[in-house]
Amino acid sequence: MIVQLRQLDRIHVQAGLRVPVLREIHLDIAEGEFLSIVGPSGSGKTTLLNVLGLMDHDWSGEYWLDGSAVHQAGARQRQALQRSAVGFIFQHYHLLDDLTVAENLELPLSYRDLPSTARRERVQAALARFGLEGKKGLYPAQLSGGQQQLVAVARAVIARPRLLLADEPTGALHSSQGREIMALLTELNREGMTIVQVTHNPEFAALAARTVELRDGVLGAA
Amino acid sequence: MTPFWFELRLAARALLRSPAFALTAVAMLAAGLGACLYMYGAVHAFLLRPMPLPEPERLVHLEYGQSGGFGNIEPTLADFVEFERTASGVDDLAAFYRGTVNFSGDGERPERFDGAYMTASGFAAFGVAPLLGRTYARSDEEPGAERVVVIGFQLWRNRFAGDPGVVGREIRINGRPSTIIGVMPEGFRFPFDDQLWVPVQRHPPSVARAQGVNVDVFGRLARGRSIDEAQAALQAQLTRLNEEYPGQVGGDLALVKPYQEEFVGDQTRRILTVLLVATVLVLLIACANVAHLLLARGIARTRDLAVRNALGASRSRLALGLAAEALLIAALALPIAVIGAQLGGDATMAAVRHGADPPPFWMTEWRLELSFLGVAFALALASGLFAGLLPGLRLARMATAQVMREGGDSGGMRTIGRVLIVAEIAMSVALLVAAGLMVRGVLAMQSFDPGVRIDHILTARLGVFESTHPDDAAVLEFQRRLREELAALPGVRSATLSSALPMGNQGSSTAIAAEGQVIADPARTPLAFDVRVSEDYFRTFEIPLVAGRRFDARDRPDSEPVVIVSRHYAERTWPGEDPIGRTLRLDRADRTEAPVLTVVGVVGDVAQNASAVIDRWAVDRPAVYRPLAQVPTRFVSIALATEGPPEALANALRDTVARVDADTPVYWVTSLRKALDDAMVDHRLVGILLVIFGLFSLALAASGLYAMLAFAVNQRTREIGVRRALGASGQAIVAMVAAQGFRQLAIGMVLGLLLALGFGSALSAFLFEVSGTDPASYAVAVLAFALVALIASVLPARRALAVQPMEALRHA
Repeated sequence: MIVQLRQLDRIHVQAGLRVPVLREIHLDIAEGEFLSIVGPSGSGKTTLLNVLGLMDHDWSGEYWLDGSAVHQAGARQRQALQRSAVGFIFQHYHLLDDLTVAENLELPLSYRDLPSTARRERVQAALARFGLEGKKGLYPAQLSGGQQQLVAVARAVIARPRLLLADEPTGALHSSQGREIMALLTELNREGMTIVQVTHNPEFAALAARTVELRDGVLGAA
Repeated sequence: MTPFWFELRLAARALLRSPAFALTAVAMLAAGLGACLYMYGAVHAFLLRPMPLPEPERLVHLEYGQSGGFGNIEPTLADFVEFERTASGVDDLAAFYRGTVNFSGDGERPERFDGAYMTASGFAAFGVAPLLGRTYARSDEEPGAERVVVIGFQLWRNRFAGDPGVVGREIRINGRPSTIIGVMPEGFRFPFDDQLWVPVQRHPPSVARAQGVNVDVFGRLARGRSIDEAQAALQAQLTRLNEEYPGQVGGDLALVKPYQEEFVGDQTRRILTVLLVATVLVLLIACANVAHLLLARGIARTRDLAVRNALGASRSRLALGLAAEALLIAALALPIAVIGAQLGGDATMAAVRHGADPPPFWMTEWRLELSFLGVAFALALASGLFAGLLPGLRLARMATAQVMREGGDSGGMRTIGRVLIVAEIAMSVALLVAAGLMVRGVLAMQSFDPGVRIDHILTARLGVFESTHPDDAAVLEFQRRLREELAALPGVRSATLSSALPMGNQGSSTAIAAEGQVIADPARTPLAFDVRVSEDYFRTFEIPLVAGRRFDARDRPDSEPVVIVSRHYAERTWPGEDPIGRTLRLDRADRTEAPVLTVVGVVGDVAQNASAVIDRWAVDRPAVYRPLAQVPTRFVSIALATEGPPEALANALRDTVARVDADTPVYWVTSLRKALDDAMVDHRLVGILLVIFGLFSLALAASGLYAMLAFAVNQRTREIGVRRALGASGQAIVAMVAAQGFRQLAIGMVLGLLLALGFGSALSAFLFEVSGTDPASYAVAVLAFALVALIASVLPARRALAVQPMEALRHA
């Protein structure tokens, strides 16, 4: 198993009130699996994704990621684990406006202390693989939504994460662009990458091998 | 590429895409850095830069102090000879006094130079060899020795066109034939700022002691000796001297200090420190403003930071990215600041050099040295880190996935912003108060009535020597002829000669004791300015005659010695009595050697010395006037009351002096108004600098306040829309915006006023007729800041008023 969650609770404190967002989550994700998380708005999907991506640490319970006990890890270890294992795709792409396509791709590599020659090689390879060579010098504002999400996917996988987390990856795209992105994720999964996506779209959710549903912070089979 | 360079590249990109922000931030930091570097340059020149000599740290200055009294007393030449005989702890003990050296006899017009009458050992003490020829020897100082002179590089180049055959040339020094024996190398103008070196004349000890010539004594600390040891050795000698010559030695306490310190008084140190602190505050305000801008900009880019965090950037890496922007801003500001400081420094040093009392030459040179550039770089780096790290670290903390998702809570940011604004306001108010105090002091100085006419007076100075005017009669004859010829010049209403000019630097003080006056402690006999004047002195300067008569042809060398006293002195010494006919002596109350002088007149009070203006002695300091005819004086100042602009008569004055005596150069030809302005140059300079720093800090703090309120209005657009939709009046909205800045303003002002008390105390010795706690200066600073703060608040408030409820809610 690449992910194991046991009795995981996440509580938000709002205006002095304790609001449970995730309750006693128990989840196993196998290496190379493609999992969809569905559920209504506010059910805790993104919170769960943030916990899985080591972006949220205010929870209780047990979380094993790639054999490491996240619940016992300190901030530095968590960050190291995140860098080595996790990639993120956001609904709104979140490309950095000031950087070109190539620089956006280089960014995660720069955080992983790769030598510049290795970085350049990987960026070049990613540009070739995702068909972005002609766009490497363009800024995000010069790209269509689909192209931006393509860059975002390329950026998420360029550091070769073992777990790719996608938060509504097609949420801001029209259907044909959405299908292209989903085809790309399916291909990445076939190559062995573990993917967890949060989606509202039943068609795209069905592309995953397994779907789970969150309702009021409680996880169940879809 | 290392993470730093990578972040620097990204920072450069970000700045290029926001040129308005980049330019504003660079301009702010350049001004702050420039001001700080400018003052550091001055502090470096005056206090830190070693003298351009081999082993400058070994050069020491020896002087006296009096137990429980004055310090900084120069020994006499006779004392120096005693020290020389038994000196210990100091090598190459030397002495000098500075004076006029009239240079002529080389076919050119006579010229007056500042020269050093120095012992031969002085050259060894300074450790610099001549460029040509030789320096003089101990034997050249003996009475009857052939007269020799060593000239400076500049004089050699300008007057002798750099002729290598100049050594051996015969010229005239103060009218006496002398031989040039050497030329010193370029840059050697020691001991102060000198162009010529003439041997000190060593008279037999009894003569030397009677002459009482005071000298600056200096030398090199013997290797392995400390200043304390040298001082102890000098103290032993001084104690012995006092036992041997009771009452004839100027002090009883020995003081040995680094040579450099002789020329920088406590007041100068204090003022330089105040100004340096002021510029550090300006730099801190500029940094705080840039930090504020970065903070506001960072909040707008929180999403980007959160994305970077999600992509693996650590908090420190995010902070580094933000700090990189600040460092880049600092790097761009640095060259601008260095150039600005250099230009300002050059101009200031030029003004200081032309002031009435310039410091020694090595302190008035502004050079771009490696150490200066090192400090500039360190300051820029520190500024960049200060401006960048604070917002960087704070913003990096915010950058979490939740922020990205939920918009985040910028409360912490606002707190930092508020703290920065409070600090800016406090520092700005303090600087404004300091500027206000100095301005009031300078204005008081400029409107100060010295008791004499200032406008339409042309002044100059000259001196005659024994070689051409061997006795008093010759001196008096020369001065009589000169005055008559000057008075006859067209456009001259009257002409006079005097030992010193009102508010000049040539005056001297003397003890004064009226006959019959009871003075309990003769050592504390009152002092008075002693001015020797020709006829028409009081008429030329329009000093009113209060009682008795002015000097006239009756006052001859052989007639009864007479004196005219100032009104204040007369009223204090003989209250309610007629002072005319009273007698006094210019000496300590317990001595009777000085001649008895009869008071023949009382005149209005006059500020006789420039330091009277500066040290608040003002016009009530007693002054006595004696006729030149009875007290012949070789060095005199000329004053012409002119009908038109005084400068127009400068050439006529020079020509007249040349006509009367072709060998006597005339110097310091200037109007009294300009001379007075020159005397105030330091004060005006400090005032101008503090005003510039104060106004600049005001502009920065106001823009910071504006930015904070504008940002707050922007953040609260939705809230304002809701309030307006619920019926809030325009007044209520303005009050809400204004209230946001009011607390910071109030706290900042209170802290600023406390800080200003420190400035006021440090400046107090430098303020003329203004107290360091002058309420008006404090009030004006507070009002000025409040007014500017009000203006800075109006614009955001207007923007808040312009918020349309529906529009705000639609876009929220």
